[in-house]
Formats: sequence, structure tokens, C-alpha cells
Amino acid sequence: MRVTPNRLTTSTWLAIALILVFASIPLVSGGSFALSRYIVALSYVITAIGVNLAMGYAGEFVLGHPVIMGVSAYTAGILSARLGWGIEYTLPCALATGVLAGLLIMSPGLRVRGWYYSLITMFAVLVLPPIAMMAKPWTGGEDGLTGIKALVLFGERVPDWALFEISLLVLAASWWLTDNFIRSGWGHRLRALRDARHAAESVGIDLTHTRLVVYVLSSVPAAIAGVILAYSTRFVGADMFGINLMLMFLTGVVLGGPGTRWGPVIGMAPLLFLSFWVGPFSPYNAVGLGVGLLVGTLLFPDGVMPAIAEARLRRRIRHATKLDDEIRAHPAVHDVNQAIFGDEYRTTARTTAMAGRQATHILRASGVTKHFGGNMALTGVAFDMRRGALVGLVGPNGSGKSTFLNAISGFLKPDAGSIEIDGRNTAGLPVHLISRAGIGRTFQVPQLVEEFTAIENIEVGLVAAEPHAITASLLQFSSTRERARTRRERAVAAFHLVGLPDTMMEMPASSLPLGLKRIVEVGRAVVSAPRLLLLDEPAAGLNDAERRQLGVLLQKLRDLGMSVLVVEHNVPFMMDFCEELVLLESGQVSCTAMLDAPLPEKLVSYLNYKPQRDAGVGVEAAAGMTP
Amino acid sequence: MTFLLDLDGTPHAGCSARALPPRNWRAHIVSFRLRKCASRHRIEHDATHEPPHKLPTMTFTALMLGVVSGLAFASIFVLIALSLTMVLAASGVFNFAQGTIVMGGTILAYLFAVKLGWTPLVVVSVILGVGVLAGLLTHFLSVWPAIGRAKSFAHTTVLTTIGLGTAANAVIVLLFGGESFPVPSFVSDDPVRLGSVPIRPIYIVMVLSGAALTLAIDRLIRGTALGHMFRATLEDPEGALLYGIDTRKVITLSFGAAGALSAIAGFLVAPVIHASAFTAHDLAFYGFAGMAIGGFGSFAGALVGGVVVGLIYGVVPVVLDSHLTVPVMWLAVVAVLLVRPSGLLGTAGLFGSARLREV
Repeated sequence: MRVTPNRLTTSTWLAIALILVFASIPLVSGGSFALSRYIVALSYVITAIGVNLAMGYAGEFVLGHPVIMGVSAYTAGILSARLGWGIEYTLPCALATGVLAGLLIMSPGLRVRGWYYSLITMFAVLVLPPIAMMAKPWTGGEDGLTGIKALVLFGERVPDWALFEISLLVLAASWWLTDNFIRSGWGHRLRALRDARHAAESVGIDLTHTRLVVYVLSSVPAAIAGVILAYSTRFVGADMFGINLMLMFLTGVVLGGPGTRWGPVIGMAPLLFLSFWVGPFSPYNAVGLGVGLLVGTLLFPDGVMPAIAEARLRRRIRHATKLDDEIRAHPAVHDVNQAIFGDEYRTTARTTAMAGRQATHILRASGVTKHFGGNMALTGVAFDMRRGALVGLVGPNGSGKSTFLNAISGFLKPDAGSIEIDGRNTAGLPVHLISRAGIGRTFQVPQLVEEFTAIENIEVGLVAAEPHAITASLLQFSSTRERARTRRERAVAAFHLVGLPDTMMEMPASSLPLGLKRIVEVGRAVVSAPRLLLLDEPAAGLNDAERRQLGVLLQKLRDLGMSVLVVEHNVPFMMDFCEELVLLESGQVSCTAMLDAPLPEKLVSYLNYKPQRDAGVGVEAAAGMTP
Repeated sequence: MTFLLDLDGTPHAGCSARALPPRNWRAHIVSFRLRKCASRHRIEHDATHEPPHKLPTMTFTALMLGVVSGLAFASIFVLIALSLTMVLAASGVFNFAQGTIVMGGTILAYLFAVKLGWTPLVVVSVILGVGVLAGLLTHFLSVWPAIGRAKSFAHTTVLTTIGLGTAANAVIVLLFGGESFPVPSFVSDDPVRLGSVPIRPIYIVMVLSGAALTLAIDRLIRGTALGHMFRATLEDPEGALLYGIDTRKVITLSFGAAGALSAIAGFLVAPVIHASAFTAHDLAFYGFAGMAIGGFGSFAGALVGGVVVGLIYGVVPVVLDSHLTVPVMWLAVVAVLLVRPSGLLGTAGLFGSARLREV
């Protein structure tokens, strides 16, 4: 999880040791039947790694991998048995058809979500056998496909033990490549897609593209496993890829712990062990699998690996909270790293200025209208925001404040009206493109990747701007490591800028209190140096000291050149730190006022606020909160 | 899944792994599979009483035959989809063990009606009781222990119910064997003629009882105090709790009722498919497909979706090819969901309520 490339961790050594142990199996057990069963077991684990990538890391609950295995096994088998092609042709063809099948099964996920999507992919497993029956001349129908030529490499027939070692190598490679991929910026993308979809879009991650990458990469191991299967058993039957195999993948991945590097291996192990123990054709397999699944899930509801990780984490947190209490007693904004951050930002601002696209207003909205059925949320909002202003948006509940923010950031398409950001009309643009135009935002309910640390959550704000570099990420090129380093540096700068204490840096977001989660969100929004920052009730859940700190932070961001639009209910907070207030009532801007001038009557009556500027230095609120 | 992990493995003599000759195991596996296929049935129409389905040229009569048998199956799929919906709506659980209960219903129908020779009325009432028990057992073994323990209750209960269903299924295979037995229909087998279309009376029984049960559930849920408590729990569990409704009791009840409904569906469908331990997955999937097409958690949706799935099940073998039934069904599910990502009536709400719980 942590960005520590270039270091061999304990688990890496463990992996190497495991592989060596398994590699010596052919020395002990020489029978071709036993070896073939081991190879099939390996091919299942290889596929499970692909399933884990989609289901565990990216949160796409897909269950169609047996079909991918089946399609690629049939392709390799048919080409070998019917046309006599060698592995150099069958492997690429099988890979291509397998990945295509994967895309066909999984691409409804670009539109269909949740259990509907799982059901589509699950149902696909029932579709393969009848199609194989219909294509009897090629697939052999119910009798299965026989006559697959033995695997020949470099002119020599590959013996069973060598095929076993090759499969083991493929398994190790799949594990290693997936692990690299997850530790690169793609790991951030994938988990943001899973846990914080809206946040991912709001920092500029293209969800469609990310999903397609996941679909392809998750299909590849399954396709290779299909080829291995075809060459090892030299027989392909449709019922090899049925519901039971799907259940096995589901059980293995979820029992091991979806979204953990060891999960698929740990989870598949007992299932495979069971089948070796009771014999392959025993009906007790199913009894054992079923009871194991039931009891295992109830013992480890979130998987074995997460249960272990949680136990270890609990120790760490107990240690960290003590330190943290001391530090939070003296909240201080770290200015050391802010210089770096400031420079970064000014550079971006300068390039924009040189491009000559700098408009006087950062945001121009006119006539923005949005209806939800009969509910008129926005009825023609007209509002211009100066560049570099710190503006508070106030209004009673249901006046459309959040709807307006959602319209600006593209989560809602307005029915009418235009929104210009930095002189550019953003109508009809998807969220991630609007975000790349220079908007950062936070959410009323914080959208964080719970298993990530605070600093990793801030890093999520940076990955969208990075190049995709899929190959480099898989193979962990030096460029990937370089990017990880810069990413971490910039995230640390932002982390200090928003004033989070150092001890929080490596704490998982799930252990942070709500108020601080909001601050981490602010960090994620500002780390990419947006020109316009939209904050949705950032002060909710903060205590007085933290609220004051947040106010100072907002002013600092303004001084760095960001334009900030805050929605907030806390009137003293707004009066203390904003320059300008905008009152939204029943979907319209009813009043705008600068705070250094006397407030208009309308705003005063709404705020129920008596200005006492002449009476004292500080600003005292007559009423703390608006209704 | 040949050869490594054969979950459907039927206890054939001399087929254990250890008995395999080490040299020519590849050939052996092929022959083993062939023998297994011969004894194994997925859902199959009972061909002995079936009017000729495949005609040399597709005629109106053949099409109507497909529609009629499709409607008969639809009434069963509707019942399965309804019982899945009931549980899903009340507790948020996708009950994968439901298919096993339906399959259990078909096998009990065989055991009681054929082996023991009981009268249909007795058979129905005993199956009803067993179904309630099976539903309650599902709840107490696989759902109740998971409440409040997992990050994602829905994911955890999918696994526990799959586990329970798989285990129960395997135990039934062990007890009942892998063979499949025809169950005679409880009414006459002489076809009733409607114009040129001969209709098996059992189909009429299936459609009528399916419709009657659906109506009864609808009346129960809309018209009684119990039904109101039920709907309150479906719409807003926390709110219902605040009004003093014991939501856990309602959830338990929904499992019991769904179990009964599923077992009855099994009893009704037994005469037109064989009583076999291998039909559970397919029956559950047709129920799920119906539910997805109609929209998860929607009462009316389960009805519409079940009918669509049933018609595809009946008509496709006549018009195209029986192998294409499942592929066409899959395409239908994908097409419907691509156009309406929450099913045809997914937004209509649970049992007519205004809000659909997120699933």
C-alpha cells in the first residue's frame, strides 16, 4: 500500500521462498496425472489474481472470468487440434479472443452498476456451455475437444514438469506485475474508483478509461490460464468453466481478502487443498466448499488478510494516538514546505497567464436552472466570481447551494443557463474534464479511500495529471518510481499546507475523525493547484480551534492565488474569513455583499446577525448557526 | 469442472481419483465425463408428454405452444423472483440459497407423491412447512450471524448464502443421488385444445396457481396490518424501528415466507422438469434474471421480469434453437439494463412504495 518501491519487503521474500518450495514439487511427485492437477490448480490461482484486480482493487464486482478462461482455452485448443498450429500462433490468438470476451462481458459495467452488473457477468458463465454445444464441429460439443497437440517449444516437446515450472513462473509474474501496477499511480486510480467514485471524477480521473484498463488487465491472466489449462489437460470441455469455477474464484478472492496482494493466493489455497485431499470427483468437495465458505465468511467477514492487517493496525494506532494528542494541543501550520507548494502553484498560474486565457472572472454563471421532477432546485442562478476572491455561499436548507456546486463541477447537467470557468464554457463537459480545467472540490460527506493513509488520499489528487504509462507501471520502470517520489513530495507539501499534524500522515483515513477527513479532502483538492476551489461545508464537525485553523488556511489559499467558494452554515466562520457573501434563496441569488461594507438588510435578516464592528475587535455572533 | 474439483460429482463406483490408472488418465477423464453426462440433467422438459416442439417448419401452432409453455414456466419464475425480491427488499440480502429450496421442492414432490404415494393436498402442505423451515434455517445460519459484523453486509451474505446453498445442494446429492426422476402431473395428461393449440392441463394449473399466489401476496402486503409493517420495514428500516416495529422479526418472517413460496414453486414445476438435484443453480438464475429485468426490489418488476424470462424460455427453443435460450436471455438482461440501468420498473419502488433502497 505504501509507496516504497525499490525495497524488498518481508512479503516479497516470503513470495520468493514460496515459489522455490513449489518449484521443487516435480522432484517429489513425478506422476503426470498429479502434475497436471497441480498445473490446473496454478491456472486457477493465476485467474484469481486477475479477478482480485477487478473485484478487489477496482471494486468492479465481476464474476465472468471462467468464460474468459473457457474462450481462450477453446481458441488455443481448436487452433492446435484442428489446424495444428504451434504455441507461437495459438497463444496470441487465445489472448486476443480471451480479452475480447472479457471486454464483452465486462463492458456493460460502463453504464450498469451494482448488483445488476454482477448479475450480468455472473449470467455470462451460463452462456458459454450452450454456445460450445452449438459449435460442435469445432468444439466437440458435449464430448469435449480432444486431440490438442502437446506443447512444443523450440522444437522440443515440453515435459509435464517443465509445463508445471512454466505455469509457476506465469503465476509469479502475474502476481509481481499486478503488485507493481497497484503500487504505481494506477493503484490510486483503481481504489479511488472503488471507494470514492465522485472524488475520483472531481480530481480529473477518467472513470471510463480506468475501467477499460481494468477490464483488459484483469482478463489477461484468465486468458493465459486458459491456454495453460488447454495444454496441460489437452482436453477442453464446456463444463470445466461453469458456475462452480465461478464460485471458487468468488470464494477464494473474497475469503482471502479482496484488494490485498496475498488475498487471492491465501483464499484459493484451502479450496485447492480440499479438492486434493478428498479427491477430484468426490461430492464431499461441494460440502466442504459450501461449509467452508459459510463458516469462513462468518469468521472473517472482510477476508483473512484484512483481518490480519487490522490486528496489526490496531497496535500502530494505539501508539500513534498518544503522540497525536500532544501535537494537536499546539496546532501549527507548517510553513517550511509551503514554499515548495507555492512555487509549484505560481508556475502553473504563470503558464496559464502566458497562454493569454486569463479572464477577469474565474466563474461566470448565468440563468442556471435545474429541476428534479417538480422540485425547482435552481431557478436561474446568475453569479460572477472575481479571480482570487474568497466567497461564502449561504442560504437556508434546500435553497440549492449544493446543487449549484454540483452544477459547476459537472456532476449535474443544468437544464438551462451557462457556466463559464476561467472564460471557458463548460456546458456538457464530463466531470473529469471540468476538473482538469482547474476546479478542485470537496464533498459534504467526505469521499476518501478508507484503507489509504491520509497522505495517499492526498496523492489521489495528483494521479489524474500523470501520464498513463501502463507498461511502465506494470514493470516498475524507473520513471514510475520517479513519479511516485514527486507525487509524495507534492502531497507532503499539501499535507503541511492544510495544517494536518505529522503523526496523521501514515494513519489510515478510516481512523480519522470526520472533521479531519474533511481537511484531508481539502488537501486532495488543493494538491493539484486548482484555480477555483469549491468547498461544501468544510467546517462541519470541526471544533473551534480547528475551524479557526481552516479559516486561516482558506485565506492562505486565496493568497496563493486560488479563488475559493465556500458553502457553510456557520455564520461566525463565514463572517470572520470571507470577503464576500452570496445569499441563495429558493434557487436564485437574492443578494450579494462585500463584508467590508455595511451588510444589506436582506442578508442581515437572513443571518440574524448584528454587526458589532465598532464595539470591539473580534466579531461576535448573536446567533451561532442559521436554521 | 472436470478433474480437479468436480462439485457436481455424483458418487459413481470406481471413479475416485485414486482408482485412475496413471498412464492413460486423459482418456479416462473423457470416458468418465461421458458417463456422467448421461446421468446428469440440468433443467429439462419432460419430453414424454410434450407435444412435438420442433416442427420441420415453424408454424403458428408451434409458436403458440412455445408461448403457452413459456407462460407456464413464467408463473414459476415469477414465484422465484418474488421470493427473492421479498428477502432482498426486507433485508438487503441476495439469497443464493433460494434455488436450493426450489430444487428441494421438486425432489420432495417426487419423494412424497411417487415414493410414498401421498395425495397432492398433503404433499402441498408438507412442502409448504418444509419450505418455511428451510427459509428460517437460511436466515438463522447464514444471515443472522452476519448482521452488524461486516463492512459490506450485502457482499458477506451473498457468500454465506452461496456457501449454505452449495453445501445443502451437495448433501441433497449425497442423499438423493445424481439421477433424475420424472414426476407425474397431478392432473390429467390429455391435452386441452384451444383452437389448433394443444395445451397440457398442468400448464394451466401452473399459470392459475402462480397467478393466485401472486395475487394473494399482493393482497396480504397491501391489505393487512402485517403487510403494512412489512412495507414500512422495506421502505425505511430505521424509521420502522423507531415506530416500534421489530424489523428483525419482519426480516425473519420474510425469509420464512420466501422459503414457502420457493418450495411451492418447486412443487409446481416438478411435473414439467425432472426431479433432480442439479437444477438449483439454473432455477435461481432464472429468478435472478427476472428480478434484474424488472428491477431489484420491485414487486411489479418481479412479475414483469419473470414473464419476460419465461417467454424467452418457452419461445426461443421453438423459434431458434434450445441452445440459444440462455444466450438470448443474457442478451435481454444486458439490453434492458443498458437502456434502463435499474431495470424496467426499478424506480417504481418496493411493493409500490416511493423509494427504492440502494442495492
